[in-house]
Amino acid sequence: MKKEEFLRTVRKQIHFVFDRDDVENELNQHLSDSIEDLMEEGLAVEEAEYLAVEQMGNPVEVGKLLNQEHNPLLGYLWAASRVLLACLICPAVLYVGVMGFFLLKTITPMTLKDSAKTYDVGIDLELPTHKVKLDKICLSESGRYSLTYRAWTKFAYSRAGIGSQLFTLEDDAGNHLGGATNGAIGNLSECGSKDFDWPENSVLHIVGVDGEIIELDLTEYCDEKR
Amino acid sequence: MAVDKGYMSGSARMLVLNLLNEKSQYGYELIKTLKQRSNDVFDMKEGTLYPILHKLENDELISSSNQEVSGRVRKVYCITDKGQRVLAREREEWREFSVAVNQVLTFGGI
Repeated sequence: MKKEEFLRTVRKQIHFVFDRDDVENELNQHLSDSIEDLMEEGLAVEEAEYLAVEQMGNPVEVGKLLNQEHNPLLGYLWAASRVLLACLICPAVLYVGVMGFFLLKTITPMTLKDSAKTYDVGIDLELPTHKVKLDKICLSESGRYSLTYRAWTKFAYSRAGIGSQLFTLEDDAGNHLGGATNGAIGNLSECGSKDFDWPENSVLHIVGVDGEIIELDLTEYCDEKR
Repeated sequence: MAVDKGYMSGSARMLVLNLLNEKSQYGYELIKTLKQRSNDVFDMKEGTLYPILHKLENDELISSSNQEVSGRVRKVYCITDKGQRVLAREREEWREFSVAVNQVLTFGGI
């Protein structure tokens, strides 16, 4: 019998397919060693291969004994537990990574890249679901105003949901100027900016999700007047 | 002289554990050592060593790792702490058993 035929026959007896390659590799190594040694003793290749395979015994018998040690039920349970573990660990690692990334981003106030001027605001907004810091008003080179903010989810309300509004920006007549949304489910922290149009009388209302209004006289912060 | 299969399979476990207790080895190495040590009495079919090794590994008496030995990656087995404890116990049992057998055999004046 040829080496390949022996290995193929053993393989067939092992019902847990994931172990077949390992078993075959091990037996293949053994046969190669055996053939090498027999050839050193002076046998021709074919004779050495024949004898090496002969010394291994009956491949069906050997395969069946091996199959008892590579139990498909336990094997598949083991494989399933690995998959399950990976399914649990991967999202957990990803979650920690993403959360960590956002927490790092919210250590320092954000300044928009295309800002021609920035003005410090430094107002804290205490919302039922979030603690918000209104950091800066940025004026871009193209004349657009943006309010940058950082927000941290309070743990009691950590399931704020997709797209829940943290606050909106209005003028004192209640006209909508812009709003800040909280992006993803379960975000522990985030930072962002909201563009707004300069209100007619320079008074900006920051309306929290709970309805509380903080009035901001923009002239106190910015030297711009419109 | 070849030994009856029944003797062999019962003691193979202990013999393999004992050889691995001396030195970590891969399958082919074990077979060669076994043959040399027993003056070819334990001329088992080489393939049947592997079910024994895999059983011992499943029982956590030995562990295996892939290592490069003389230019090839081989599955090398080594004995575990649990394996050493089991070996010590089986050796003791074997000693008592062989003493008893010898006593019975020599009683008849053989």
